[in-house]
Amino acid sequence: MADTDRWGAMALLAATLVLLGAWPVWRMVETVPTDAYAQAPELFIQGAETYAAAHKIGERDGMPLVQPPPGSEIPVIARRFEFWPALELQAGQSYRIHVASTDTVHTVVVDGREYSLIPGQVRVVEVTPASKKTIVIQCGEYCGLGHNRMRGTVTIAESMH
Amino acid sequence: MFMKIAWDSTALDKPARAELRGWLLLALGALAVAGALALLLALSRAPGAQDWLPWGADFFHKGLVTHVVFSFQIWLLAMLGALTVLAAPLGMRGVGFVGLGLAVVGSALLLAPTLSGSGEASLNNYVPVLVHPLYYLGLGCLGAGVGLAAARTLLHRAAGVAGFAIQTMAVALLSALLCFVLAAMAIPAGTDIDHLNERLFWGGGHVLQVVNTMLLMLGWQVLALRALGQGALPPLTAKAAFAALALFALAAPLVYLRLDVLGLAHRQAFTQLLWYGLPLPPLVMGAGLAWQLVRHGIDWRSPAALALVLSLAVFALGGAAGFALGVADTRTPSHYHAVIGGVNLALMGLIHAVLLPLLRRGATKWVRAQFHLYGFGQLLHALGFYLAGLAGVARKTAGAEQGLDSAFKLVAMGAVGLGGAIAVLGGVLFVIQVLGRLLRREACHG
Repeated sequence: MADTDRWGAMALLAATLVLLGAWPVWRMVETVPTDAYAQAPELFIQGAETYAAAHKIGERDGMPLVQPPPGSEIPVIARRFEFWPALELQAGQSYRIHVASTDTVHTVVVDGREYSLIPGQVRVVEVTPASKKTIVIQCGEYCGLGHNRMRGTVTIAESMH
Repeated sequence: MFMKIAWDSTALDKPARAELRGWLLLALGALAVAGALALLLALSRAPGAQDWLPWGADFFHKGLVTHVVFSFQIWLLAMLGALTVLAAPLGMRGVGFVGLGLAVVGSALLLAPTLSGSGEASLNNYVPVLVHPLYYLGLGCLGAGVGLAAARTLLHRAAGVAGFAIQTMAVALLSALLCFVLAAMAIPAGTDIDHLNERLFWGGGHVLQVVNTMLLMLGWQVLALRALGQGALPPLTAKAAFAALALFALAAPLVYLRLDVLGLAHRQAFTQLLWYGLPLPPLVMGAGLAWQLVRHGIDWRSPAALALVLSLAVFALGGAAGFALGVADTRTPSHYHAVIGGVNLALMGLIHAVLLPLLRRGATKWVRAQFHLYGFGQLLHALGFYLAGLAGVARKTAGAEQGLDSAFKLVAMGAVGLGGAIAVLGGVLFVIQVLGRLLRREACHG
């Protein structure tokens, strides 16, 4: 019994040391390369508003619903507590979403991957939606009392309107 | 010199019993305050009642912050303070009383801005705050008080699994406090207040979960000894389980040396710390406990056995839910409500089966009802949260914000409400009964 106890303790400590050594490895596994560039928040807002006005097809949740052309570069504003504008994308097409925070630090979580959003920096995330109804994008960094509401829904259309 | 913890009523001298009673009064008092705040929170959302509350409608978020801090942080830290009495060197009673005094003053400071309606609420993770100098001062006093009580246990060698467990908990707590200090030093002036609070309490908050897991495991080990005549794990393996958690807690401050405190990598490093470091020791001890329960059979009349079975079941549900979580996952509330429920059940068991007898207090009434109501209520509550999260109901929202647009979501949130109400009944019974025993004079020792 005492021997079993001793071996059990040693096995547990050995496994712990392996796990402790493996802990820093997560960074290599999780790091996802994304494009990023600097742009003043005011300029980014201006560009996003112009783009939304040009491709608006309606309204959803009190914001413009935008249907960008396939393969296009789409500006999206992240701010307390929304991703603006709402998007409708086409299944099977690739898009480059340029997302930037215009107030405080947020993150954007798309398909289980998280990217930091620091004001003054634009993050480019490539998406190729599969044939499913929606993609949820949300903020993963606490940003105020409305943080849990900071979710955007991207609808996926099978064919263009 | 080795000091072995004895668990009978002659084990503690009068000053030690006075200090232990003080920590338990703080722990149970914190739950009572949290319960009263929960009632005020409900009133602050009730049409009509909200108009005559002196704090106005914005009390909801402020009350919620302090409710969480009292029901989670103060309760658990005061329980740790109580356990340090059992492993403290004989000559260090004064330090314990200073620590207890600081923790009581800290708790009062936390309540003051809440009741005066001061400061803005920040619902950041782990230690939500009111943005007010008194609130931060209160948290500082609380941390310093429990830290002081914990640090004294390291000034000698306590023997036995329980003594070792309390000392490793002390190490983990001091590491958590160091993380808070390092974060405060590293965060630049002018940082957005929400971001500041999140990162100030992120690292240390994670390490506190290691401490909470150790509280659970100590409860399992000691209660198993009481109820089954044998610890959940044999002594050396049990000590290794506590040492394993302490090792990860000790490694945590290194993150501040390597990664920008405001960066995404810093945040993820602590999430990963829990992924790598937290599951194995309670998994091994939980398996050991399950084996002992099967081997010895369960005496359902014994509060210690009841605490063990329900704690294991609720914690296992929370642990399993934790493994399923992804980034910004809406099922997260099911995970933390269940694991906290498991820890609470173990601590309730420790109080009934070990600490009240140490204080020469008799058994309370309706003990089994307390465990049944709280345990099964928490199971239903957490299960409801899991199903609601699966359906995408947003976290920490209420009313129309929840978007309960399907029968599935309605049923899931109904289970959350019903389970919560049942658990609250058990919690109220526990607090009233135990506070009643603590406030009485101790029985003469025959």
